[in-house]
Amino acid sequence: MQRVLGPQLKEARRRKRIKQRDLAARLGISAAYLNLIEHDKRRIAGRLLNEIVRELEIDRAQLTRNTETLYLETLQQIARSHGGGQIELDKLPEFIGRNAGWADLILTLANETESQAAAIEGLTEQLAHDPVLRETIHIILSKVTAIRSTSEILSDHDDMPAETRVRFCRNIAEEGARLTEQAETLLMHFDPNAMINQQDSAAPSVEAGRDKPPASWVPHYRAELEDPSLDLEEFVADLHSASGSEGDYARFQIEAWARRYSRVAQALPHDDILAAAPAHDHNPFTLARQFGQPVNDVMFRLAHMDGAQQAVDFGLIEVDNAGGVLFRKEIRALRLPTRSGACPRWPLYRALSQPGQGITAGLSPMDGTPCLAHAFAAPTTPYWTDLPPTSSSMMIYREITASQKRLLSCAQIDVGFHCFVCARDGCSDRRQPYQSL
Amino acid sequence: MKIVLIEDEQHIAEALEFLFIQQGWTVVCHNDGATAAALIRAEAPAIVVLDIMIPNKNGLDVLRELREDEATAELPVLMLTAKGQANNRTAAELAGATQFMTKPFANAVLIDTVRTLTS
Repeated sequence: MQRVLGPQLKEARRRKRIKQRDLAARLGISAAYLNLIEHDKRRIAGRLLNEIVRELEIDRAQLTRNTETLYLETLQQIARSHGGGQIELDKLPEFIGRNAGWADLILTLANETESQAAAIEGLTEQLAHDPVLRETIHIILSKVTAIRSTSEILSDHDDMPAETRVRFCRNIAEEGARLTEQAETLLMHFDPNAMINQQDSAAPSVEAGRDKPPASWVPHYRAELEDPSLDLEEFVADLHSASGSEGDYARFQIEAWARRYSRVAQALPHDDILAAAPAHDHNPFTLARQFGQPVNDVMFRLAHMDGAQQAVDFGLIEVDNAGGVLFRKEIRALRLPTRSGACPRWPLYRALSQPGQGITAGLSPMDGTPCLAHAFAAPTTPYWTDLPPTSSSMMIYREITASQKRLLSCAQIDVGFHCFVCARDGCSDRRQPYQSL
Repeated sequence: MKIVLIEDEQHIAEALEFLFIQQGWTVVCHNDGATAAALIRAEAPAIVVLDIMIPNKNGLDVLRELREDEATAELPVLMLTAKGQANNRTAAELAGATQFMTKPFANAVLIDTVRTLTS
């Protein structure tokens, strides 16, 4: 009966207004371990469960009844969603009572299946709307067609003139080389950083997986973080646990984001920005002036608004002086790098050359929706007498629909995602003469 | 028998031209969508092998243009495309394709299909 025990313990603790770390201290365990228990990621029984029950003054019998009821309801739901007509639902209570371990396993597998189905749905959606992938697959199929047809001819026609045979062999060699390029493009598309680092031997190697943000964690509006009385430590522990990542780096990222969010939310309350932003066309520079707050904080705020209330959804990327990605929130209109090296034309990078001066520009991605972007760089180091300061740059961007074209009365820039996969011909800012799609 | 092959991938066009000539057929190759329909009308072939993704005007638009012309309305057209999704097949059928073939294909299947469509 483990899988539904944790949330009941968590609820009981919250009802008694005991902080996670305080209860953990009383129990003699770490707050992180208690967090895992509360998320049913660690099994408990015996002495520890008895101690928690005593500390939280829970009725043990009621806890068992609640657990059994939750178990029953969850398994009934699973059975119904998988053709319940064939399953003897009336025998479920007896089954759970006699086979708690098997019931637990069914619940675990059902949860995993649901989670994987959601991931597959997301990936399918991404593939269906991905212009680079579509184009690359098209080119690969063309190359394969040329190679297959030509090689079949070479195999079936021994009597062809030597000149023709040489020409066909050359054709196959050329198509093979292009096929390799396209395969690299595809790899680059799915894991840009792997290819970039493969090229850049100076790039530091990072232990696999540790440098990646948790896949299931996406920064967005969180009502809890708008509340100044929130227990941030517990919130971070919950989010980290829910993200499915147990690495320290992931926790560090989530914590940095949550602390920043909380600070910005106090300085720039959600409802105040919600009310003021439309009159400013959601321009972070004029909003910053009105609220007397740093531009980067206003940008961060605009990218963390309640989607149910604010119609404009902003993507956000922040980089350091070297272009290394510090923070990112991606929206569909424009893909963002996970580590470094996007299109050099982005205002994000241009802003680094003029810290303190905002840039507003229209972005025209290839095969994408026009966007409006605002970028701003600010010094990150204290004043130096002998060196210019290091800076970080932030850019927020939004899709522009046909009815919003008036917002694009600023400079317009043709942009891509990364030079390695960019199909834009004749770009003067291309870093290397990579292949064109 | 005369075939017009509209294909902008040079190495595919070279291979198919060789194959068709081996069958004793006359082949006219072309790689531009904008002038394809006019060329087909002028050549009056027995069949057209038409790629969808060609420059200046896509193969579906070329096909529609052919179907609107009484002289080519019934001309057999075999559409070739690397995009084998159902929506492309449906679009080709709606535009009036006689048959649809997805790249990559076996040479023997292509030859058999051309034979069937022209018999």
